[in-house]
Amino acid sequence: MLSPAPPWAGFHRRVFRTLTLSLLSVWLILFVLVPNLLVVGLSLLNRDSLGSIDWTLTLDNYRRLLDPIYLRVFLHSLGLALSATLLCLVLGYPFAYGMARARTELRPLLLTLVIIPFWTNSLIRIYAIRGLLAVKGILNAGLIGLGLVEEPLRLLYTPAAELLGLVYVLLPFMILPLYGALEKLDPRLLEAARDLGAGAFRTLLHVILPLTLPGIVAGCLLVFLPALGLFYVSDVLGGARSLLVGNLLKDQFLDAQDWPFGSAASVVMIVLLFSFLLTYAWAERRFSGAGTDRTE
Amino acid sequence: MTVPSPIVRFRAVVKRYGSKTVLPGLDLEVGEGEFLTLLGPSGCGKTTVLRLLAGFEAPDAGEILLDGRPVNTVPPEFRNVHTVFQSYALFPHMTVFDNVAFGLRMRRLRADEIRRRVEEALALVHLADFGSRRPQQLSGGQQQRVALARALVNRPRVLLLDECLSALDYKLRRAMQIELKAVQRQTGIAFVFVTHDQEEALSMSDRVVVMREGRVEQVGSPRDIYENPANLFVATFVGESNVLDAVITARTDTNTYQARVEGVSLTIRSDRAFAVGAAVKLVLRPEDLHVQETPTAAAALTGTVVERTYKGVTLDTLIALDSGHVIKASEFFSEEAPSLDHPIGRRVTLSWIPGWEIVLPARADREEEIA
Repeated sequence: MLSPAPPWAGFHRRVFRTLTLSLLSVWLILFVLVPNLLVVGLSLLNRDSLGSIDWTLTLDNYRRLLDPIYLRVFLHSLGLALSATLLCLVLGYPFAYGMARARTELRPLLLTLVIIPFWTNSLIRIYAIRGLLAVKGILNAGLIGLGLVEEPLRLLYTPAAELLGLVYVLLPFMILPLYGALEKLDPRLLEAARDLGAGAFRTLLHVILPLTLPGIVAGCLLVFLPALGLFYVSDVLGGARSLLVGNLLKDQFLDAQDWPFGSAASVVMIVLLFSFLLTYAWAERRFSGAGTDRTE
Repeated sequence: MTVPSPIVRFRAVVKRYGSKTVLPGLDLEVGEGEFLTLLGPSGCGKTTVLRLLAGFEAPDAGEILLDGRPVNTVPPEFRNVHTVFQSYALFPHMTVFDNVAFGLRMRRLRADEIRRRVEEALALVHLADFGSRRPQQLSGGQQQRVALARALVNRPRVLLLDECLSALDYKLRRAMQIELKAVQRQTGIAFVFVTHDQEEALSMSDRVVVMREGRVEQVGSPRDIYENPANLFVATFVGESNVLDAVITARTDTNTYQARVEGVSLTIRSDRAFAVGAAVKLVLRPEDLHVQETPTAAAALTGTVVERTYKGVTLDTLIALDSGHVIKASEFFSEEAPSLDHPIGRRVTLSWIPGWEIVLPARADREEEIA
């Protein structure tokens, strides 16, 4: 026989629920909603000649963003971030696939190898890359030593160097969600596909890729969003001529002291990134439960 | 074992996984349009046979012929053999229609042809209106049918079914057995069905292959397997049986013997030849035994009732023979035998129709380990 629940049990549960939910709400309001509203509000104001806030509402900042210069910065940054994302996907997918299909006892080791770079600050690792790519760096020394080139190549301060830095820093963020999705993929579905006449490529196209799409989208978002903002990568590897959206924002807030304009740029970025997240949520819902938890 | 027109032929096929030999040398034939069942306990190699036939595994030695062509190394996507998987393995990101159409699309058929054949296949498994659903929205039995339609729609030479009914509950399984058999008859496609459920094997198959430890113990019609088991393993694995030790004491006719069974002298019949003094096993099916409270004149086994179980259709009685051996009798209720209910502790006599006993040599070989 079940003992009847004490009369205060329901009360305790209600208090606990109210408490946790209100804590969460307060936290979200204080640290997410309020700062974002501040940024939106700030973006609608002006800066006077002395650099302090001018309290008149205006859309000037957004109008200034339409300037071709900023469009170029944005497109450059977008192109670089997209390239980095694509490169991470192409490099990360086979790695994650291999990891998910590796022997069970080997997987923790592989996972650790992916995570180890996080133990060193990424800024330091970027400076290390600079050392590799410099005119008198190890790579050039090696190439000259092998007789492949006669003069040192200009590797540093190129878009390629920036791309390398972004991919290097962000690759684990691609691998981990991909691994999560691929590990859940039921290998029996792959056998079923082959049984029905699909070769390796068409199995990949029609079964593996669609079923791991949530992982692909998650990985791409985790790479693409930071890739737009990692200003120190372009600072260190791209040189003064290369501006990412992240550099633009940093410059407005720290160097130019134009907070309203920086805010407007931020708002545009936030809206853009939020639409990506919505796409992800849609994909997630569309393929929910796909390939997971089908153990009978 | 020869089949009039074999589609599939296994010739001395050997399969090893690491140091473990799963199939030490298998010979097997599948005939045109037959329902063949591989029956055996788990680990007997029956699923390996299916995987070899589907192309997921390659044999280490021997030859597999499909329509007379060796297919040892032909990958699964190039074999006209399709599988209904134990877990169904339906694609969760596709609708039922797309699942069934998958094989046809891989073969790049025209869209209207695909539509026609998919609808035909879905109608065959009574899922005509379910094309737009997703597999997760279907019940286990419906998923099973989708898996069947997805394989059948490609009109394979051989359809492989890997314990595909085992996930269903008892009633649904019985219904699907009948449906599978009907579909097989309608399509005329050869089915190779793998199961460890002897009832399933007997009720659906044209031929049953009983396997143990990678070897074929017996091949025959369900009736053959049940009534004339080749050895003690088949006798005990297929159906329930009471196994008694006996010694041949005299040969009274070509196939009639006198034997001492559990301390009693009985007349037994067998088509097999036994020498006088040979140790044999007497296999008695529970449903062949009659329990009587009045002692019969003829020599029979006697004992004491120790347990009764009411089963609805039958009444099962456990009887401790005078030798101590406990055997089981399942009696059907009928008008001729109104009083089957034998109280515990009652002395009873066990008899059966002469000749219904199965007599097998009691060699102390592989049969012994499992019996």
